[in-house]
Amino acid sequence: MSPSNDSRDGAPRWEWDEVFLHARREAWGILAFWGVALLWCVPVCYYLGYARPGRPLPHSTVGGIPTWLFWGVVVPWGVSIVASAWFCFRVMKDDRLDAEVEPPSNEGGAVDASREADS
Amino acid sequence: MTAVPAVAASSAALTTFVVYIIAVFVLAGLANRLLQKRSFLSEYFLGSRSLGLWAFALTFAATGASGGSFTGFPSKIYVHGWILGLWIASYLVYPICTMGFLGKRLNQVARISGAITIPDVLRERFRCRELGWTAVGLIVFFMAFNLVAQFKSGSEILRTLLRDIPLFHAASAQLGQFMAGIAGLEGVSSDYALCLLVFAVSVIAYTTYGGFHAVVWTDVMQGIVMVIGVMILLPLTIWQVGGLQRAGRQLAEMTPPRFLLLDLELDQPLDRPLRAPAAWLLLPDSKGPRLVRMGRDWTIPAGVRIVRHLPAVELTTQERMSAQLDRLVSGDAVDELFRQLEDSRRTGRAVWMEPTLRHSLGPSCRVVVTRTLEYGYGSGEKGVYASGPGPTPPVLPSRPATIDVIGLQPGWLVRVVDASGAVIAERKTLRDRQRFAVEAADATGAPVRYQVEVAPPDGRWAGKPVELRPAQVWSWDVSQKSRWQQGDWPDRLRRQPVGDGFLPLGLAFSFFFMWAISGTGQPGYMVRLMAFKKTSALRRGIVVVSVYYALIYFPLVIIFVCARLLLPGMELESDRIMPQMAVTVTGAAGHAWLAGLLIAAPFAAVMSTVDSFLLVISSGLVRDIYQRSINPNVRDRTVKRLSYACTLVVGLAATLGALNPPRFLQDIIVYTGSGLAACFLAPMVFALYSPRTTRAGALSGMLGGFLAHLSMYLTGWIINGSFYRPYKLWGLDPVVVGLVVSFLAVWCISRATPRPDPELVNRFFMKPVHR
Repeated sequence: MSPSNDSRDGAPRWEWDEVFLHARREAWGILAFWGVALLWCVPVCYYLGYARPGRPLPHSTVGGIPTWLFWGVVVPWGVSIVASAWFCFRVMKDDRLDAEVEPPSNEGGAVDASREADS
Repeated sequence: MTAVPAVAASSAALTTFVVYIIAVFVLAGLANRLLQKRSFLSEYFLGSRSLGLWAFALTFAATGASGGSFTGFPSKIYVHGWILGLWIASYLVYPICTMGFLGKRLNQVARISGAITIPDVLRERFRCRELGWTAVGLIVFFMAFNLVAQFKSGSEILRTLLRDIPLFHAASAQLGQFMAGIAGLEGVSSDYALCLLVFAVSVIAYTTYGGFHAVVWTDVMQGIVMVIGVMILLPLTIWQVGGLQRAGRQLAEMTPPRFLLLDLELDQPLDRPLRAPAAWLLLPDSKGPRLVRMGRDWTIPAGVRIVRHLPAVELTTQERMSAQLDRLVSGDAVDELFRQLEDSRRTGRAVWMEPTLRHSLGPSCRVVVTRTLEYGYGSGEKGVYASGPGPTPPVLPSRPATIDVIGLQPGWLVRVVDASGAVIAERKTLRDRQRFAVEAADATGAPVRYQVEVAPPDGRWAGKPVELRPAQVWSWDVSQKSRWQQGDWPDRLRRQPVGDGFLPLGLAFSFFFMWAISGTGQPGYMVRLMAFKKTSALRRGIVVVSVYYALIYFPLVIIFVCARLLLPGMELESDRIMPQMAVTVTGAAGHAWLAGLLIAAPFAAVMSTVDSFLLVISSGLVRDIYQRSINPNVRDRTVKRLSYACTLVVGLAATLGALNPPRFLQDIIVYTGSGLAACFLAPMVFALYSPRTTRAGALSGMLGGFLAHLSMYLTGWIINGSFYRPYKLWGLDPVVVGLVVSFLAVWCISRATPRPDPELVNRFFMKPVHR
């Protein structure tokens, strides 16, 4: 994806909106965040806490909370708050939202950005 | 434990409730003053995109925490145990997913297009009227159903709050007289109607009058009420159970109870009806007394000798029975109880733990167990409340009939077999008679067939088929052997299936998927993402809501698993566990007034959801249908009147719908929530992040998600006999199927159709370079 487009007839040049680029990058990060949480919580709870043939039901606790729930949900919950704070304060960008972009005229500088977004 | 007078607790709760409602109206009045100063539509439906950190974070959090968080969720924790921690685990990423995934970009696109509703955003982004109309249609369809369910939920919470207040009973009696002459209201109880009226008038009035800002400000207050409620309840509960460590050990030792159906046989009919609470009683048994709690409040009508099919719960853990007996009986009453127990062994009569019932019913009433139902999964297993999957309670017959087998001799076996060949009840008899309560109507209301069989000590079974209708009492005198027959039942009998338990692995994945991802696709939450002022409010808001949900949801799990120790036997009225816990723990701590604050929390949660939905529906109708499609040049004053009228009419329609609500409220909420996500998430994600997406792609994604999701429910209707038991393709929830189809449809159709207008793409994805 190229950041800008040159127009041969002297019409305004257009580039990807930064808010879109930042938001898209952050959305991928959040999707990964969700995936990691899913792949941690459910398998850990299943492995440590679910009844399976030939295995007695788990009875151990950490501070009164079943061990499987402690490691599978309580600890990740705490970690996720810290990770959310890190993501929001370090990764997410502050962007200006109030500057409205005038729609370009039909002639001139409009470029087919959808074609570029494919790449 | 100190008993709290119910009236005192309810009066405290009522005072809190009145203060709370006054505060809500003050906030609505202030919000209306803002309306006079700003552009009406943008202010009324979107708060002029001016929300700062706390208003944005708390309105989002409060809207997300619906009434279910404080009624259905505690009920599920109580019934299934610690496994609900995994069920709700997705809430650890819920804030960042629901707010961060779409928030910044949606807010920007809404500003670029000047959109103030979700259909508005889609319509402008793709410059497609049909997409806007479809979006409005789906929002109205799903949210109208959801509103009815939420209105009913709010009314039920209010009814719990007011149930012991004499003034409430007097007012509901008056209303009952008024309703008596009105056609269509015959089956509506007057106390429910009164609560619905109070709930509807208050929520419709403040939403209509104050608009978005009133909703946001009340959400902030409601959000604070909720978190304070939970933060008070948590330490009180842990203190009451003697520490979490101790509670954890006791829960790991607990086995699920049994469900019973009881017949009460009086020696003489009563002159006046007897209304009794969900009382405890001891049933004599050869292996020792059985401790049983009546399932809910019950009544013996005047002039009736046998009251049939009263549901009850029997405790099965010895330690829990002892602890409960200690709570129920103290001082001199212990000696009296032992005397009565001795008598009960001789007479076979039950011992009522409630002193009034013990004296009025004890000597003259025989309690007969007509059905015993074990848990489908987890019956008799220690540790099932502290592991996965969780236990699943049996389903009591909803329209029972009685099979009465007489002429038996001690030592004979008696059993009832259903049409599939499953043995649903079997007993060895010590007397000449056995009674069985069984389901007498299937899902369609048709009569149910059974085979009743007896076996003398020689072990040769013989039986008789029977087809039963609800409330029927069918008798069979087995001493007349000439009337024994063989039925056409399968030769090989089987036990009823145990089931997979609550939240098997496949569903655990589905729920993790469902909460965070389907929450992201809710138009009611999306519209809040269009209202924050700056991205710094979004970034900080995500952290605030993350901490907020951590303070609400996991503490709720701890509180209501501990409720199993403090308030055992409430499985059959577990929807009442939240107010009951509030009254119990605050009373024991000597602060009954706190119960009001705690009970206000679920009420606040329902209100904050209902007000948001009301505005989403009315904004769709006023902005997207009338102003954008019918009369674009409408005057501001007309828009204002229309908005007020529309919010009022939608609210009144929901109130009328809730007067005779459908039965399966929680299922409706699940259906509408997951349906909205299946329709809206994929089109919105592609609209915001993919310039290549076409209007045909977005429209097909919306309709594809709707149809795929609906088809799972319709297939479930055909296969399982109920619309609310959807078909689970590969064990996955319908929302997963709907979302997959919707995402694929948007992607494939967009690729198969011509590229979108470059001008449109530049408007939303590009910016001019100024050099």
